[in-house]
Formats: sequence, structure tokens, C-alpha cells
Amino acid sequence: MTKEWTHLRELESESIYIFRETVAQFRNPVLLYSIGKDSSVLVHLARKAFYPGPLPFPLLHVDTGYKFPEMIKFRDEFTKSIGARLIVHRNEDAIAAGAHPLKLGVARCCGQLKTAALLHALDKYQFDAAIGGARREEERSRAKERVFSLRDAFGQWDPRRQRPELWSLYSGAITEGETMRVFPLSNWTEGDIWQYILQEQIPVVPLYFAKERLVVRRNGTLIPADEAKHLKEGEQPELLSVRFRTLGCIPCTGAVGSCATTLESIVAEAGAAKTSERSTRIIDHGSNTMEDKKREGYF
Amino acid sequence: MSINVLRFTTAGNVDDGKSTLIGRLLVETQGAFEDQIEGARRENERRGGHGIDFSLLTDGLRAEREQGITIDVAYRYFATPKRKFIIADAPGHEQYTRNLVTSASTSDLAVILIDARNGMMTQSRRHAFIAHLLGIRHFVVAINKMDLMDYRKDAYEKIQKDFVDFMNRLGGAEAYCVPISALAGDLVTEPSARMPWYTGPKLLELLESIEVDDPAYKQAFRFAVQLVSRPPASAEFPDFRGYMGRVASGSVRVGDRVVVLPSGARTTVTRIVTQDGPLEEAFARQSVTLTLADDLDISRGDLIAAEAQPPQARTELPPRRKHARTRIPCFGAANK
Repeated sequence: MTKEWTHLRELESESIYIFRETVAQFRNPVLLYSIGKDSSVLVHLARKAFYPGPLPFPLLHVDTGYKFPEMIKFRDEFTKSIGARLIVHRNEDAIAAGAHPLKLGVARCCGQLKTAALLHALDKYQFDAAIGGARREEERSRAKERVFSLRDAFGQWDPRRQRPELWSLYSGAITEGETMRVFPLSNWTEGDIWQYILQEQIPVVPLYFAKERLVVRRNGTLIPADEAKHLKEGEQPELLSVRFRTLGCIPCTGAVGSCATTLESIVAEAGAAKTSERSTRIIDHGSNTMEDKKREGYF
Repeated sequence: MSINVLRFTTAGNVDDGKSTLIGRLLVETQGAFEDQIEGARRENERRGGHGIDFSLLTDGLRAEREQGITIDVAYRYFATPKRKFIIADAPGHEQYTRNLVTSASTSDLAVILIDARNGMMTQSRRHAFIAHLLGIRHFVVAINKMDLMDYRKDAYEKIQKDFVDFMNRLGGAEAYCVPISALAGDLVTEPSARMPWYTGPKLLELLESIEVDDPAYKQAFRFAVQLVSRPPASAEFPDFRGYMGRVASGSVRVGDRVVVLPSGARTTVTRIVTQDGPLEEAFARQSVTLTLADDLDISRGDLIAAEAQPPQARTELPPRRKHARTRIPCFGAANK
């Protein structure tokens, strides 16, 4: 054996296998590209899976209009550099109506800008399989999901209808109107993702690295103060050395205090983390849980 | 060649304490995050409970938490300095036995929990049988709730004997027994002063040390074609036709003679292609793309196999080996 068979290579090989099964079994798959670290790994694995051919599916970014400018810049440069087809889809009606988490509440805002936009895009382009970077380790309802996860005609997940999934046999059988969500990173942990990014030198958005940034303290998290117009009364922006463990919309993505400016120090930080990465996502707090969102069609 | 990851499933009757055991393993190995533990604590207190209800960490669906039962498999991840673990926490409830099949199919080892008060129940036997049927050959029998049996050795030995008898009927497996209290924490990751008569390893030590060989490496080369790769012509690959798949067993080298089934055509492997560069040899579990010397009709579902060791077509199953006995390394108990 030229290279040692490590757990990262095992995960990589499993993910490549899942990608190939998806393309073999579906007519019109799409990769849900959210620009974050998991998406970077997902695209990297997809390219490995189909080498020397091009990616056999487009990337779909569901844009809410609240993404960090650094994310959009990275998205455009990265997808161009690898020659991928990029589809950007927005719920323009909701954006024009001024949807914002402080106005609608987080659950309704997400429902309109993310879930409804995603379902609309899947329908518009007639995608029958959507490949996402969700990991079982992230959250306890995701811990329950199959690799090939069936959605009904309304894009909804029904945990009681989950199918058997034996060995590495993934069933892509769907009927009219149903779609599949496919999760090649199911068995990866946050630590695995960062170790793999380091090993493969995969480009990621610079927001993952620590830097002095203006933030405000809100609900126990550090929210970027970029959009001053949405500050609540009494909130004072502070300049702190922070980085992001996950990337979402600016108003709902918390930063963590950190001095990790290199991949090596991020790997060390991920290994020692005491809280889950989703703890920085306001989307997961409150009564509308991930399970609710998944039932509604969220990825 | 093995990677130090153990995939195991938990099984046993409903209320035998599976979720509690997994919750304790996660908390005591730092496999659960503080905000998740805090969430489980808050949720338990909202329902009028005290402290952490470990099962709230793994029962990820609302319907599960409402009823206090596990409906579907939860996958959880933790690591110790010795090994990484992927747990598939399967439901114990009879109605959801089918979901154990999913969890057992990707596991190398099964931890069967048995309530020391009740002993082997139908569901314990059923789960052990299904896990065995799906090819699991490593079992750890955790005889739980020893605190409710005053940590008595005879209670443990009785169940141990029942399990040994049952496993001997199945044959060919290796089983370890350990008395524990998932609730009180005896012999899970910590020692127990209350069971001095047990001198074997703690549950976590067993999980860290049991060797699970992947027999796939030693078997003949088998490769099921997932996809045919026909990319647009490029300077490097002017006329490429490759067969994508994951090596199911054995290994293959450039120059090896292979047979393609079901057509029976024979040819030679010319290249093993990956984005990280060409390989001289590919092993079981590797996802690769093979190119062959001849243009043959090969499509998804066809099997590429070693010419010297082709699969045999049979219309009869060989009889089950009757004399394969279960090996039961037992610790601390009589059995001498």
C-alpha cells in the first residue's frame, strides 16, 4: 500500500461511492452549495468522484441576500476556477418585501428565504436529487437521517417513513413528485472536515480564520455588526478577535472568540471544542427545531 | 490493514438502557458537547425530571422524546485516544425491529444490553440473531442494571450462561460479557468497587481493544461497476473509457487479468485512475476508476473479478457448518 489507509481516506472513499450512486440512479441531480466548509469538502469530493470527467451536475446556491460579502466573492471565484455550473436562486418576492429575522422571527425568515426558495428551485429546474453537506454529528435529528433521504411531493421529511438502508445499498427509487436528499458527508465530524481540509489544502472562505471583527453580543452569541441598521437598542459593537465555526446569514451567524489564524490551529480548536458548532447558529435555537425545518423541506 | 475505527450497534429490549448507556459513553468520553448536554438537562427539567436524562441526547425525534422510546437509528460519534467510534443506536421496541437491520448492516460489533432483572428476553434473542444474520461476529453482552440486583455475581452468571448457550446455537461468533450499571456508571468507563468479583475489562476497554478484521482484504478481487466514465476528449484523456466503482474485496494491480460478468469476457487492467494520480494497485474499500485493454460491453451492475479466482455460479447453497462454535472469552465469572 503506497499510502496508509486512514479514517479520512475511508470517509473519502465512502463519500465518492455515494456521489457515484447518486449520478447513476438519478436523472437530474444537483449539489446544494452553501459556500461553507462542508460545501467546499463536498465539491472537492465530487470532483474526485468523477475525475477525469467534469462535474455531472450544477451547483445550486440558495441565496438569502444576507450572506457575507466574503462568501459571495469566494463563491464566484471558486466556482469559476473549477469550471462548475452555478445556479443562484433567491426568493425575490420575500426579499423585496423586506424579510428579516428581527422582523419576521428566525423561523419564518428561514422558511421564506431558505426552505421556500430551495423547494421552488428544485421544482423550477426539475431536480430529482439534491446532494447536501449535512452531517449526522451536527444535530440530533440529523443523526437520525439516512444517506439517501426521501422527500414527499411537498419536499417534506417523514422520519417514520424512512426506508431500510442496508450495507452500502442506497435505494434511489422514487415516484412522481418525490425527490431525494443525498448526504455524502453523513459520517464526517467537524474535526474530520478540518483535518481533511488541511490534508487536501482545500480553499475555504477567509471568515473561518480568526481576525479582529466588529461584533455585538446577542443571545449569548457574537453577532457580526456589519449591518448597523439592524442593531437593537443598547447593542454596542466591539472589536474582538473572532472566527466563524459555521457560515450562514449575517444576522443569525454567531462568531466565537478565537486566535486561530491557520488550518493547523483550527484543527486543534475543533478537536478541543466543548460546544457544538450549531450552537453559534441562531436558526437552531428557539422552538422551531431542525426537525421541524426538515419536515417542512429544509435540507 | 485496518483503520482504527470501530462501528458498533447497540441492541436489546426496550427499556434495557441502550440510550442511557450511549449517553453516558458520550458524556464520559467528551463525545457530547456542553450545549447538547445542557439542552438535554433543560428539557428533562421542563418535564419535571432532575439532572440529565441521557436518552434525550440520542432520541433526536420529537415523537421519540414524547414517548421515551427510540423509533429509528441514531448515529453518534466519539473518540478515545485509542480508537474512533461510530455508534448506531438502534430501537429496542418490537415494532421498530426492522430499523436494527439498517444499523447492524454497517456495524462490526453489536453491544447487546440485557436487563439483569429480566434476563434474556425474546427481543434480546431476536436482536442477537438478526445481528448475527447480517454478518456481525463480535458481540459484547452488557448485563445492565446490576445496581438493581445488588451487584450479585450469581445474577450475572445466570444470564451469561443463557447467552453463551444461545450464541453456541448460532455459532462462529465471539462474545464478551460484562456486568454494568449504565445509570450508576459501574464498569462503563469507570471501575466498580461494588463488583470486586469481576476482574475483566470495563465496557469501554472492551470496545477499545476488540480486533475486528475486515475479511474483504484477504478475499479474491471483486469490483462492481457503478458508472462508466466517458468524459469529453481532452489532451490528457483523448478517448477515455473508465469503469468507476469501489473495490469490494481483494486487490487489483495494473496488468492483472480479469473476467467481466455476466458476459464472461476476459481482459487486462491497463490503468487505475484517481484524481490524486495513477495507482499501481488498489485495495478493498478504495473508490477508483479502472481502464481495460479491450473495448467490451460493460455497464453499471457488471462485476469485474480476478480471472484466476472467478465467482462460482451455483444453484444450491452449501450446508451450514454445524460445528463452528462460539468463542466466549469470559471474565471474572466461574466458567472454569
